[in-house]
Amino acid sequence: MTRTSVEGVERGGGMVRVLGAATALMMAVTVLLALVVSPAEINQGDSVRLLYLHVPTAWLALYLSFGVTSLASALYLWPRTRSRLWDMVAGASAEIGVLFLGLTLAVGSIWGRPTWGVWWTWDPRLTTTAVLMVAYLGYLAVRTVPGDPEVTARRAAVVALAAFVDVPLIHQSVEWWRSQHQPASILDDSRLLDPQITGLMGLTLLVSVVAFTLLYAWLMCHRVRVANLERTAGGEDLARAMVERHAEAETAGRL
Amino acid sequence: MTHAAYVAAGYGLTAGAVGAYVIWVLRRERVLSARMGGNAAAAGADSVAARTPVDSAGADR
Repeated sequence: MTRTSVEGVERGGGMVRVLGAATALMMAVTVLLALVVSPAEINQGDSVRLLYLHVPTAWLALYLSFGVTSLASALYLWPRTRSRLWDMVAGASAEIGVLFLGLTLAVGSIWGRPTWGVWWTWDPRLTTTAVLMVAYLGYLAVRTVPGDPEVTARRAAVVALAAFVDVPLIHQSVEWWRSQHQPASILDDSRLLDPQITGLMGLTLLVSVVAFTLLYAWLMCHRVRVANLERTAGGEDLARAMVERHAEAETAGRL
Repeated sequence: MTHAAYVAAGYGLTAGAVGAYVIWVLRRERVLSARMGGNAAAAGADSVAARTPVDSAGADR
């Protein structure tokens, strides 16, 4: 599947453009709902509008991006499914995840200042999330270590799986420990069928989650393609360097 | 700061960061695609030169 799958990354340009248009449309609807249509919350006031960014970016980073990274890493480590495509998918997804996890922390901090009175507190949810950020920054650093690409990819896959252990800890941190962060409003066993956010606010959050999910899919299409182009360009650079070295050696031999 | 200012800061930061990343990815994709296209054209030209009776080595002789 290696060659076919990697070549498949290059195809589907029309679908990606449609996905991009749908993402832009959903993002525009999200901004309209979040900033204009949706009402202010009785306790939080207008700062509740920040949650229409904070929650979807957290969903995108924690569950979607790092979930895909872990799945792709596992598929890469499994000998029967090993393919360079899975390594590229894992790296692209982790990079997007780190960007959106950074935004989750930053927007959460901006929300926390008017609501909690502090920019940051060493709360279990916040601390475990900060640890995850550092872990995936480490993962991205491991991917840049020079050497045999197969060895680097294997090491990175192991780091990705180890880092993902923190995700269930983050999810459960508001239940297991005394936390200033509120419990889950939707993704919880007892609240899945009885969400704590309803009406226009619930609709805005739902639309925002869909918009950010589409954004993730669109970004992944482009980022995996870039990774594939980088890999091919790197291979061509190596081949060109080898040809040049051979030519130099032949010239030196004649002399 | 008013709540509106915090909201503006949050949305501005998100739009800026996502926008910058999108621009970086699309620009890198375009640069690499153009480079690969150029290499493919050069490779095509090389293969044509290899089939041509008078190449650079022939000119030296």
